Amino acid sequence: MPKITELRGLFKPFTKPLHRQWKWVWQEKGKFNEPKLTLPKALEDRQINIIDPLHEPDPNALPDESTPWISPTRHPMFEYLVPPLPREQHPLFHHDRSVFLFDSKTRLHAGVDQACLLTKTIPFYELPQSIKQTLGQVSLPDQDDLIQSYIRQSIAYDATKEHLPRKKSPLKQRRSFRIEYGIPRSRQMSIVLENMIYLCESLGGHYPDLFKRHLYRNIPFYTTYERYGELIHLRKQNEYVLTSHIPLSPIVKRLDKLEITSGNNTNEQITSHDPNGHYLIQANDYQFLDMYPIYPTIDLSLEQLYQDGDEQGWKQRKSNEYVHTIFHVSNDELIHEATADERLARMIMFTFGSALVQARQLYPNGILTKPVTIQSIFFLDELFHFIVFQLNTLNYNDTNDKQCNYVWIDKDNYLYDNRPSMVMHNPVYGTERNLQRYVLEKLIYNPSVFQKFLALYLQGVK
Amino acid sequence: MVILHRTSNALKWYRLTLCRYKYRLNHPGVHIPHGVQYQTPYNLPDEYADHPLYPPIRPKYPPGSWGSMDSKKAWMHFELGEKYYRHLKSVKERLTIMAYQNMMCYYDKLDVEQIDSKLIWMVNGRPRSPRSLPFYKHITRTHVTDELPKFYEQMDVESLLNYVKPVLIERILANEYAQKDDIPLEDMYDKGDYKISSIINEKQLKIDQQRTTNVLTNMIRTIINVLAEHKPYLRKTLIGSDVPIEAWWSLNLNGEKYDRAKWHHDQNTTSFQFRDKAAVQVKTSRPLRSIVDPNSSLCQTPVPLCSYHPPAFKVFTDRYLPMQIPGHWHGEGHDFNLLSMYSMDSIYKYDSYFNEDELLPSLMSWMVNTGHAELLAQAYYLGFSMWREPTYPLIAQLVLSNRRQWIFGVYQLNTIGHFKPHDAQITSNICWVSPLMNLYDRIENGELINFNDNILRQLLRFILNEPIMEPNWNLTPYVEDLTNLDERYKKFIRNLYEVVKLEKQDSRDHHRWAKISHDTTVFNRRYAMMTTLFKDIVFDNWPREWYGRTLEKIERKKNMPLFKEYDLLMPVTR
Repeated sequence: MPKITELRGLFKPFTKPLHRQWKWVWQEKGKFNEPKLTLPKALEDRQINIIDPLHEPDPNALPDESTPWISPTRHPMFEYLVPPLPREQHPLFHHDRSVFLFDSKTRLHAGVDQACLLTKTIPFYELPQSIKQTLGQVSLPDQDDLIQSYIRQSIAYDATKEHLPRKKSPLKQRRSFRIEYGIPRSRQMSIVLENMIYLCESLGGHYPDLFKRHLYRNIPFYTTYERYGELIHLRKQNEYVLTSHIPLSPIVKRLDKLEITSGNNTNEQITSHDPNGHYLIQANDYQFLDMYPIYPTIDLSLEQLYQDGDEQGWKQRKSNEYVHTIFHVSNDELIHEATADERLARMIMFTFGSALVQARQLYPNGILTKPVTIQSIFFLDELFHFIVFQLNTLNYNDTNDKQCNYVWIDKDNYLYDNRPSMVMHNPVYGTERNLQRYVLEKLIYNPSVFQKFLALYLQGVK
Repeated sequence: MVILHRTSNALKWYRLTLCRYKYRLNHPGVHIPHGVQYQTPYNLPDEYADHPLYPPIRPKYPPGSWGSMDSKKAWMHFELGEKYYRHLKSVKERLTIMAYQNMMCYYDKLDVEQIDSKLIWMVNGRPRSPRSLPFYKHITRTHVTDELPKFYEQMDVESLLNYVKPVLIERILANEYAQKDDIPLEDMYDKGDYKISSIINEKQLKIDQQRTTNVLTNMIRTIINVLAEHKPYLRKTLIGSDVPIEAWWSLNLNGEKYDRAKWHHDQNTTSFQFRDKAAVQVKTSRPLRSIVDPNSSLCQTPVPLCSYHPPAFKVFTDRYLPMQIPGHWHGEGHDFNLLSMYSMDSIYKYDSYFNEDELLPSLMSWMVNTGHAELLAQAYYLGFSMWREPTYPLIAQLVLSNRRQWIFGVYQLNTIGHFKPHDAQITSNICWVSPLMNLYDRIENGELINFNDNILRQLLRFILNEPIMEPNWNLTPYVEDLTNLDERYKKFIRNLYEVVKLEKQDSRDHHRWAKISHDTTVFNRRYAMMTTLFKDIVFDNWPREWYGRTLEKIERKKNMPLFKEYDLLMPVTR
């Protein structure tokens, strides 16, 4: 009796061709003949290492026991399906101790007053007298032309073409706008700011100390301090930090008869001073904000995932480095996304934090013998805020300690006037090309901003 | 009507022989509106002269050297150039028209369905295949010399070096060693996810390039600030980081047969587009001193032809708007290169690290590429072009670096008319390249080991190479003075330039998805908008090839006479 396959062969002309059935036939009857390695007899005797090309070790074969198997669901394509690891399993999660977190998005609803309360600081809404006196004394040749050319470079002449974020129209939510390509705002800001910083540095021919400064970009910063038993943790990525090899000398030397006697040096008395105890009198008059029954930490969220210790952002080297100026480059989409008050409050908090870290490094025993001064500059599009912070105390737990920190605030400095909003739809100026034309034609430049910038930059040089 | 599809030969045959006369090819009135053919009136003026007045006989070749190019082609190119310079007053107009001319349809899309731009060979700095130096030399007409020009060695920088060196070492260390990276808390420990090495490498490369940009910027800015007191021009330089460099040029095929990317004006030419980013660029408003005389024997060195096609060197085509960008948009004022630095981190990544032996030739071709492209774009900004050779040589000083390894180069651009055949071009461009050097071997305990002063010396010499402050020749001989132009014309020029400036460039992936709304590309639409908005200027000043589709239509409507006018124009006299 012939087998069925043989029958098939016999009846071949009378059967259907195997076109569509081929898959079935292959599944049922198919055989895969594995080619065997056959050695020619001439080679058998020789001791040759034979490589079998048909039976190579399979690179796609499943790994053996020793290699850990990774689930294919962890492919980056499907990573969004994987539930995030619980925060409690993070090695930095503090189970026993939570802190109040203040990061770059935190808003203090009472603004500067609240920040002053949290950091025990007394604000003065002007630049210190010692800096005011130096305004406009030093200048660079053609500095205003140069700054204007930087503005033009950043907004109109830089050839970067990137996909800009889509515009919105708050009153017509469904309206869509054309895609625009141009210079992203972060790049615009970095062009202006870096050019300004390095333009200041070009005075290094007169002040060689400037070449001992360093500019760090995008460095981490965090610190924790205790305020009346509550831990407050500050955390931020600092966009630009300028460091110098000498610490800034304090603005106000003689705080009290009892404390801090380092200001006896005659030189320092000339460079920075407090004429007639001006600031001391003002400070005595200052009343801290009374928020009762609200806690001043109301705006800070409780957080258990944080890093202990202090971080300035760079490794210590042979020579010491001290923070000179911190540049806060805002990434707010809109100039009105936060109020000036909230931004200043943030700046005060972080500048205070930096000063605190520096003071702890300088005086590890906790006794501050000389105030620590740090400047910081806020920058958004064309808006500058300047701040000078003086840390006078390390004691934030004791109610009886009357020593306070000082901060000098100079806010709302516009490098040029009336920059139209490019984020919201603006019927008159709402496109990049209009912004470029606007800047090329009707730039109204304000020279006093760079004078302040330069004066702050030149603090602490000899 | 499948047989008569627009691509079929049957259609051509049909249109040539069979169809209604109106639809025949070559019949005036379908493609190019010609107005009305008026009958010649019978009362002809008396134009007879005693001696016949013939137009002057045109010489076989237009002025200039054209080599073995066909004389008709040569005249065509010549007239193209004349037209370009006669009608377009400003560089911005020229740049826009250059981009527009590469779009596939000039006219209304009556029978042209394909309306996107033509194919161009896309090149960037890093060569993508080994042994590609002959190719890049050929497409840029460059002669490469493997040492730097001698005059750099005469510059004495020792005292400056002693002052700058400790400062720079400190700053390099601050960037390379001291600075900490901000790592988000979520990334601080291994989450056990599947990591793909190629993605990680890509990220690492991005980080490296960012670092290189930062370090190089910092070094250059420091040196410039040190010198700023004594060299006031340095304070006024324009310094940019991560600036885009783009350049377009057309190259004669020299008898090769290419099946694609031919330039539509002349099927014997092809075109290239260079795109890359310079890590740091320093520009001034004055030119650098030329290094050799363009008539000297070095510049007459013939560059050997490379007969392999671009795909052999992994150079492929794409659709793109031809652009000339030497780092910034036109009109900034700092038009001359002082120094450009490129990050070469990627040379060891991908497939471009071929071998230790191939490293130097690869870097040489990188140098040739970037130097040529940057100076070419610069030449276009100065008013020169493929039809008007630069009247003085343009110089670029180049550095390739991955922070540790440095290689220096100098490029002198003598000629940019690559569309002419090989035998028509006598001068070639010259590129001098130094050997590859290490700035330091490694960083140990916060110190640079084996710091190499020679690199610093060379860098200082590059920066101290002072531009000619008062050149006694016209830097932009082909750019007209626009100050007396009326306000509307100025507005037109600026608006027109914005069409190329702020539009997304045409590229293949752009076309695949976002293509053709309202029957054209975005570029064409905006071009039409601008020409329509300022149609008075366009009608008065431009030849009709550059009108664009909308203006074509408008113009045709205007010229079509009404019946009344028709009667008046053709009075019955008999």
